[in-house]
Formats: sequence, C-alpha cells, structure tokens
Amino acid sequence: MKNRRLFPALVLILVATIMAVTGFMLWESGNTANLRQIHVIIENSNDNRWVQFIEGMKQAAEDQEVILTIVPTGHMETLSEEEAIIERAIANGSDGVIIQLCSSIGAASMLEKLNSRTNIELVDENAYEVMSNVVGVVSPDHKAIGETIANEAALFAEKPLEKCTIGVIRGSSALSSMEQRMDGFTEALESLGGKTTWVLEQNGDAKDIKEKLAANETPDILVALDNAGLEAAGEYASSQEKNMTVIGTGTSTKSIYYLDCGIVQSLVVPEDYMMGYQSVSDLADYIHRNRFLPLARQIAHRTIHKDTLFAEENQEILFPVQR
Amino acid sequence: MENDRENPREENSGLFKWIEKTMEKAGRRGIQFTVLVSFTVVSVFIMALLGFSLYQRFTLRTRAMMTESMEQLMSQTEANFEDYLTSMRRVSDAMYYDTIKDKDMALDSLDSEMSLLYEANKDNLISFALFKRDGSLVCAAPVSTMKEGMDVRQQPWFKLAMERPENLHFSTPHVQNIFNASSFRYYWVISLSRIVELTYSGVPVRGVLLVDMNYNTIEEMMDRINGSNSYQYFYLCDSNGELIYHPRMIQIGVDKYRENNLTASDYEDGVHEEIFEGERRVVIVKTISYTGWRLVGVIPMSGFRLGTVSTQLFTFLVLLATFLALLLINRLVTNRITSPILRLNRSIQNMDGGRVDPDKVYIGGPAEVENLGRSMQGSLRQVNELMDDVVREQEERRRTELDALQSQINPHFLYNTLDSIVWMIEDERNADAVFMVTQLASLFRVSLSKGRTVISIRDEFVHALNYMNIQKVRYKDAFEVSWDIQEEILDYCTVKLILQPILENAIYYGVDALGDEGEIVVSGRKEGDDILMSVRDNGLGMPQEKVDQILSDEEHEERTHRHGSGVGLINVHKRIMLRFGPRYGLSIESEPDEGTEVTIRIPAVPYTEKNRKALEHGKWTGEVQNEK
Repeated sequence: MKNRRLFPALVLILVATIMAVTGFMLWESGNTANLRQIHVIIENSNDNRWVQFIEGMKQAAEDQEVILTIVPTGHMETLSEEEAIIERAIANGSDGVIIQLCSSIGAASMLEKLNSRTNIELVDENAYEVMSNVVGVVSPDHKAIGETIANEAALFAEKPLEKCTIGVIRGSSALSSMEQRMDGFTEALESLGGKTTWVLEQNGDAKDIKEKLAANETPDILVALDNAGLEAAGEYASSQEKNMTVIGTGTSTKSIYYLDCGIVQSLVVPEDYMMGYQSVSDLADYIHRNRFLPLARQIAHRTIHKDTLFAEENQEILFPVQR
Repeated sequence: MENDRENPREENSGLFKWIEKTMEKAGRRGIQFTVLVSFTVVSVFIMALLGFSLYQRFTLRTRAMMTESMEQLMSQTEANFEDYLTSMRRVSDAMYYDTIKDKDMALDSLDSEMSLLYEANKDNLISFALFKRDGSLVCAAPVSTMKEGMDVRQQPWFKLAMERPENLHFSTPHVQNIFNASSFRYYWVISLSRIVELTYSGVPVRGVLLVDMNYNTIEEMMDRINGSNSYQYFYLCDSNGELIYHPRMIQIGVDKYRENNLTASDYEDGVHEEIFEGERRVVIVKTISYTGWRLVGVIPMSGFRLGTVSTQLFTFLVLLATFLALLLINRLVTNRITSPILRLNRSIQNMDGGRVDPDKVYIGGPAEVENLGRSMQGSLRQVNELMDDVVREQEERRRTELDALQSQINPHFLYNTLDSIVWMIEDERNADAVFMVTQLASLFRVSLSKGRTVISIRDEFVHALNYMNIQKVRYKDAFEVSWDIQEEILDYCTVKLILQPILENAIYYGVDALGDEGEIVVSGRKEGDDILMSVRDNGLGMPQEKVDQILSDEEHEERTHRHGSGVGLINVHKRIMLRFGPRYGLSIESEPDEGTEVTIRIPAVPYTEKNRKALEHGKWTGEVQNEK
C-alpha cells in the first residue's frame, strides 16, 4: 500500500517542482525583458555642472541593469512645474524617480502625493521634512561645504578677514541645502573674524545676477555658494580691474576653467560622480529587491587649488571621460 | 602495512553489508519496488556520471572556446592598436624628419606644415607642439597660447623625452593642461613625446616634439571590444601597470573598484589563472609592441560554468525532467517485467488459506513465468485431489462415529425397559405390560425411522413421550412430566434421539431422589433462526464446576468408565455439533438444590426431503432452506 502511494507521490512532487521552476523562469525572463526604468529630473539637465553626476548615474544604471532616462529640463521656477514633469515620468511607466528639488518649501506635501505612486530618491537636497516620503536621499554635506569655503576665503585673503569686504552670491533661499551652506559659511566666517558685506541671491538668470553684481561694491573676496553663482562670479571677476579673491563651489568645466585661469583661487567640488552612482544604485536596489536603504547618504567633497587641478587623483573626478 | 591493507577490506565489507541490508529491505517491499528502485538508482547513477563528465567537458570546452575567441579578439585589437600607434609614430616621424630637420628655426616657420599635418590627422590628434629645451614653445597646431606660468619641463612626457632621447615615449592618459582651454574645453590625451634636433642659424639645439593623441580614439577601440558581455572585460595598462583604460576607470579612481593591474603588468604574454579579491579568473595578456602597453582580458571562472541563475535553473529543470522521464520509463519497464510474476502471485495468493481452482492459476508472460505457472497448476491439482481424499475419509469417519454413538443408545435403554416389563409381567400387571410394550414399539418405530438419522421434531417428541410414559410406569408415577411445546416447531428437522438421554438424566440424577415431588418440564420453542428444546427438573442440581465438566471429553471418558453405558449428554452434544456445527448443541444451567435445565439449540431447518437428505449427508451449509 505504502509503495503504491510512493510512486504517484514522487511523480506528483517532480511534476509540481518542474512546473514551479518553469513558472519562475518565465517570470524571470519576463522581468528581464521588462527592464526597470528610472527617470532623473534635475534642473537644467543639459547644464555642464551635471556631467560628473550623469556619468556616475550611467555607470550605476549599467551595473544595476536599469534603463536611465534623463528628462530634458530647463530652469524650474516652481514646484508645480517640477511636479508636472514628475507626473509625466510616472505616466511613462517610471519605476522610480530621482529628483533634485527646485524648492524645499511645500516639497513635503508634493512628495507625499507622489510617494504612493512611485519610488522617489532625492539628490542634492536633504530637507528633513521630506524624509518620510522618499526612498532615500543622497547629498553633499552642505554645511561643511559652506564652512570649507569660509576657511578657504581666510586662506586666500590678501589682508585680514575683518578688513576685507566680502560679497556672497548664493542660490535660492527656498532651498534648504542653500540655507545650510549659507549657515555653515556665515558661522565659520564669523568665527574667523570676517563678516559678509553683501549677499546676492541668484535665481539662475545670468543677466539678473550681472546687474545685481554691478550695483554692488566690488568686494575683496567674492564667494559663490553654488555652481551658477561661481560661474557668474568668475565672469564678473575677470571683467574687473580690481584684484579680488574668488572662492566657491562648482563642478562645471567653466568653474574649473576659472580656477585654471587663476580667476578663482579655490574650488570646493562635491563628488557628484558618487552622488549619481549612489542614487541610482540605491533606488535600483530598492526597486529590484525591495531592500530598504540607509535613508540619507552623504557624499564627500574636495578642495581644489590651481596647483592640484591636474593632479592624478583629481583628474578622473573633475574631467570624467564622457561616454 | 598490514593494517593499511586490512582497512580498505573492512571498508569494503561495510559497504557490501550496507548494500546487502538495503537490498534485503527493498526485497521485503516486493519485486516491483525492488526492480524499480534498482533501475532508478542505476540510471540516476549513470546519468550523474554522464552529466558530471559532460559538465567537465562542457566547462573545459567553454573555457577553451572563450579563451580562444578572446585571444582572437585581443589579437585583432592588438593589431588595431599597433596600426594606430604606428600611424601616430609615423606622424611624429613625418613632422620631425620631413619638416623639422629641413628647417632652420631662426629663418623658417613650421606653422603651415604643422597645421597641414594636424589637419590631415585631426581625427586622432588633439595637438602638435614643439618646445625648445628650455620649455619655450616654438610652434603648435592648432595655434594656441601656453598657459601663463606653465613650465613644460615639469611635465612627465618632457622629462621622459629628455631622460631617454633614443626613444619615442607614450604617456598614460591625462588632461591636457599646457594650453589655454578654448571654449572651456579640456581634452584627455596620451602624449607622444620625443627628442628632436632643432637648427637655429645652423646651430643644432635640442627640443621636444609633442604629439597629443586623442584619448577618445583609444577609448572607442576598447569600448568596442568590451561590448555588452557582462562576464568578460578588457583593460589596458602600461608596462608599469598604470591604467590607460578600464571600463570602470572612474570607480577605480574613487577607490570603489579594484583591479589587479599591477600584477597583470608583470605577466608574460599568454593565458594565466589568478585569484583576485576571492574570485578565480582567467587573464589573457598581450603586449602591444613598441609601447610596452599590456592589453589584458579578464574572464571570471564563473563565466565558464553555469554562471547565470537562468542557466542554473535551466540545468536544474533538465535534471528534474530527465529524472521524471527515467522514473516513468523505469516504471513502464518494471511493470512489463514484473506484471506476469505479480499476476501469478495474485492467482495463487490464497493457496494456503483454502482451496484454489487450478484453472485460475495464471499461465502467461515470459517462458520462465509460464513454466512456473504450469508447475504450480499441476501441483495444485494434486493437492486438491489429496484434499478431496482427506475430506472423503473424514466424512466417512464422521458417519461411522455418528452411527456408533447412535447405536450406543439402543442397548442401554432396551435393557432398562425390558427389565421393567419383566417385573410387570412377574407382578401380573398385564395391562401395564401391554402399555409398556405398545410404547416401546412406538419408541422403536421412531428410533428406527427407516435408518434415518434426521427426523422431524414431531417424531422426536413422540419418541420422548413414549420414553417418558415407559419411565413413569417404571417409576410408578413418582414424578410429574409436563409438556410445553409450540406447535410451529414440530415440522422442523432434528437429529434423532436427542431428548431421550436428557430426560433419562433428569430422572436418574434429578428427580429420582425426591420421591413424589419430582417434576420435569419439557418445552420447545423457536427463537429467531434457532429451535430451543429444554428439559427442566426440580431435582438436586449441581455446582457450576460439575456443569462445566459435563460437556467436556474428560468427563465423558470418566463416566464411560464408571457406568460403562457411554450414553449421556456429551453424546447428544457431539452429535448435534457434528451435524450442525459448533454454534449448536447443549447448554446446562443448574443450581444445587434448585434443579437443572438442559437446553438443546439446533437451527430451524424445515423438515423437507431435500433438507433432510442434505443433513443426512453432512452437506448442510448453514443456510436455512425455507421451502417445505
């Protein structure tokens, strides 16, 4: 009796296993055929400042086998503009979206709305109020960047800081990242005895910032807290007869060029390649394996001077070979 | 040494014992199971052996093929590189030997020739530049200005050219940083530098000719061979192991990926095996002539094996399907082999439990099984014949025994009755004597019953009545007899003369000692499919031990010796059991000083000729034939 039951049971188990394995293989092949898609929404996507960041993302997309789509964008004035772009990405079947916020104000409610429909990874911005609505955040340590810029200003100042006029070009106050940089810079500068003479807020409009710069007193030290600001500062300093110290942060070739020319004395460069690589890796990991990530990752930054610009260890990061 | 020799033997004997035990266990499970398991084990073993050999062969073959194809690809790339680098050397040669050597720098300009050569090769070049020994720029194409404060003498390519003037030198890739960047662009280049002799007003001076090759050309060539195969990849390093190209160049730069380039640069050209970061891999190295650059191809060992999950799953699926197919085929074959044996087995399965019809023994299947069936059939026929003989003999013996028991009654009773009649005649009680003789005649008529042993209950009660009439006369009506018999039972069959011995016992051992107070009640009734006839007396009764002994053979033997007549309850009991089966016979209930009741239980078989004959010949099957 036992033997009579053993054979059909064995056959049944084998058939069931074969069916299960076949099913799994079909499911796997279906999954492989439908590669997951990640959309990237960053301001001025064609801007040269994103070269390193995009190269990092491309490498990660290749490693993680996901389709990467960099959504072409211009300057985004409001969050609703950005939301509309994200909505389009979701409608196009995006499995995850990597976004750089154009404003931190009201971002929490926007992300809360989108969170249930797609996986969102935030880059560059690390506002605490949005943390619960995103898969993860990858950003530089903005406050530390501000502090480094202040220290570099002190290092390159031609006279004691307290005697220097210091002009600051900063980015939008709507961004918490910019607030953090500003706080870091101000605190460090004050601890070094310096004081800002004037602060200009640029909103991406080159003409507007030129006019604002022209309207202000030419400073001894000109500080730029973002890439666009540094490009404007470089252009402004190169047109001035007065020698001034220009310090700032940036990643674009133009910013590097100003350092190479000696117009900018010190450049603080966030490792954007790693920010791109890590953001795609983390999001793809979450999409593929539903693995929760460390919520917030911080990437490092380097301080580059003219004499270290072409140093072997900096070349790969500053001038990534574009594929 | 002796121990060494013995150990394998012990191991072998252990193995054999295990195999024997397993086979024995399997044997107990039946031939089909044993054959199926044996077939499956053997086929799985062969399949595993074959699979393993094929897998090994597949791995080696794949490795050979992949290595071969990689070597071919690398040879092709090496040739492409050599062509490219040779063309770059030729450009440098052309610039030097055809232009620079012919010119006096103090008088002539190189600009047009240099621009011309640059234009002709600008797909692969970023720039030409000629420097004096002191690092000052003589000319460049495209026309550019040197960076302020730039001292080219500190550049590695310049130093190398000055240190080893006999060679052309290829640098590792770097961002060109001599000239002012036009339109904010920076280029990755590989610098080809050499010492040149410049003539200034007839005086030869040393200078350095720099050809900045476009790194993109090399990168494109490498990207082409790296393609999309995720297992294998190629990289390029110089003779010191410095990376020129790697698909993960930036990750290596930020220390997020490692490569074994420093070791690989020391390898000879050819195929090598190495373990790097815990992974075994095959590394193929080719040296590109003149530059000393090493083109390295890497194939992780997992690429030769069942690397991907899908391949592993597919292999598992094939194994499962093969195992299933084997199991089904083995089952089919096993069935074909064992089916005749099993059918033969089933046909003789109840042989030891009873009679088997020889014609039902399975004859068929292979010759051996057919022969076995025929032999079995022959044997069964013989066994059946022998059994028939035994049954016949036993039947004969039973009949003889029945006759003997029955014949024991007559002399016993006859002796007593005739003794009573003699006393009556001597006392001149003629009427009583006539009554006695009449009753005796009637009694003998029933006793004889034409030699039948089965009679109707009616006749049995007539017989009992005659007997009791005779006894009452003999005992001078010292006891009372009452009859309580259901009319419906009178036409059922009974074994002849079963009431009389019980009545006799009731008189002798029951009421005899009571004087005039003796009372015997004879009753008869139907209970379900049985007939119950009982004789109850109010005599002395007996204890339970005595009751238990009465119907045993020991008691029978004892009484036979004590009284010599051999007649008693045991006779009646045995006769009923012999005729109707062990369920029937006598039962006795007795209480000391209360009396005894003996009950006869027989099946209710209607008294018909057919039933009677069946009972007479001992062929009663236990089923009551109701037809009358």
